[in-house]
Amino acid sequence: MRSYYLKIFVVVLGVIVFSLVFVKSLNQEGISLIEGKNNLYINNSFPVYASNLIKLNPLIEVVSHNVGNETIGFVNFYGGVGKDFVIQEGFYEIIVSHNTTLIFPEYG
Amino acid sequence: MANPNLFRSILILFFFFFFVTSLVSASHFIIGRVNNALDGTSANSHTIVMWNPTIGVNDNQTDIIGQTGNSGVDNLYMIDCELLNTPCQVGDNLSVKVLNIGDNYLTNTINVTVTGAGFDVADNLSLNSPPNITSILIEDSISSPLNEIDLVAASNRTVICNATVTEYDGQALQNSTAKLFHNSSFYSDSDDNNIHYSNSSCYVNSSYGAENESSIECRFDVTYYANYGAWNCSIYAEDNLSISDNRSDNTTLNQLLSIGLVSSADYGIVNATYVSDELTLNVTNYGNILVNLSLSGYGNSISDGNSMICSGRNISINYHKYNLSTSTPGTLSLSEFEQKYINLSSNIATRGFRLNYRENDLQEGVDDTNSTYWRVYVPTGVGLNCQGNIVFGATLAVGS
Repeated sequence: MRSYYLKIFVVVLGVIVFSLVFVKSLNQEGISLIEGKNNLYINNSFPVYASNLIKLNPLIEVVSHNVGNETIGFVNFYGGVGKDFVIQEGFYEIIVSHNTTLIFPEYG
Repeated sequence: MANPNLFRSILILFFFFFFVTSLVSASHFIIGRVNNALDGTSANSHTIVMWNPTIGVNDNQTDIIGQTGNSGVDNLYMIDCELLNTPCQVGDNLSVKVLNIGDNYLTNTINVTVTGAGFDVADNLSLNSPPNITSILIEDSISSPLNEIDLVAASNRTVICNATVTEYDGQALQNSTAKLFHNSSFYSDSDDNNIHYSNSSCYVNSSYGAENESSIECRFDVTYYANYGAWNCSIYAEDNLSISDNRSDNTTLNQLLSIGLVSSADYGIVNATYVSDELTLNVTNYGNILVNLSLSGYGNSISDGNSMICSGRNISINYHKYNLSTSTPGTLSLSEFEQKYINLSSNIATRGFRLNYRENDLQEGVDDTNSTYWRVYVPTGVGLNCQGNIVFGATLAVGS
């Protein structure tokens, strides 16, 4: 019985840790971003360039993700500095200057 | 005993956690601008390096400035400091500079502090323009004929190597040196008065010429025994980022044929019908070439047939003799004298002597001086006081 509760506790703890680190995007609307670093799993049906995402969300300072051992980033500075990569489904880090809600472009 | 289900759950959880975190980016970008060099050289395509000086420069990240680098923008760089082996943290002071990739363009080092912001912008850097030696001329004080150096017998000739340098950044030249060397020598050889001279503190005139122009004047006191032939002057100018330029000019150093002797010598008292004691006259080579001797003598005027003019009867030229190689000490009879010595003549006679030029920088007279040996026979009827002249001349020895 004791081990059963312990197992439940470990699983719940894992879910809490995971939730603290990641925000899972179930759709493209209403993702709240807190000031500073936000690690997201973006499940976006329509790919969008990092530069366009920054235009829509001027409070974004940096969008980056890992490709192998390399970090690809696009920085909201001088009109956009860095590789203007396509944001598709995957894990991304978005740094914002203030709390905001992430907006994706509307298609169709 | 451990519950296997619990162990399995923990294992799955950790595996899942590490799998997910490996896909997540953690970045902190340092962005900065590198201005083009003032001589027009673009900063793009140069390599910039960033490191944490408290960790050491071996843990570094680099980027290519410009469109081909991480920034994708002309003159900008972008480095993720979290990719350092010891990832950056808020409050770290990172150092950034452009590396010299062999073209002598670089920057000084600046520091940027990592903040809690999404990224940090470093202060602007400017690509340094290397100093550019635009002209160089080597000459002595005798400007005609041009491009020839004439040495001074038994003394030094000041040779000046002049250059004009453009330093677009207006930086002071921290090191201006020059070397003057014979074509049998090399720039890096050690100094030797025969073949190699160095000046480690050339005079820099920063008010010379146009803006950002300076002149460099390097003087060399070239000795009389410096080898004749082709010489090279190379000037080296270094700015305060230790970036340098060098340029050379060639000149011809002429042969110098010169010897030195005492101005007078005395046989002392010699009785009539006796041969004098041997008088040694040392001949020193004061040039830069092997010499033979030309010898002649006269009493009062050239070709007068005498070797000495006396108060009574004069001494004929035939009674004054020399030996250029062998000393014969002691008292000699007339016949021995005739046998061992060569007649001085009124006409100039060239004799093989092959006196080497000086090669010993420390001391004169070691390898550049040979002795000549002289005696005079005093016939009967000669007056008390006699005085004559021996004319020593230097001629080019074959094989010099």
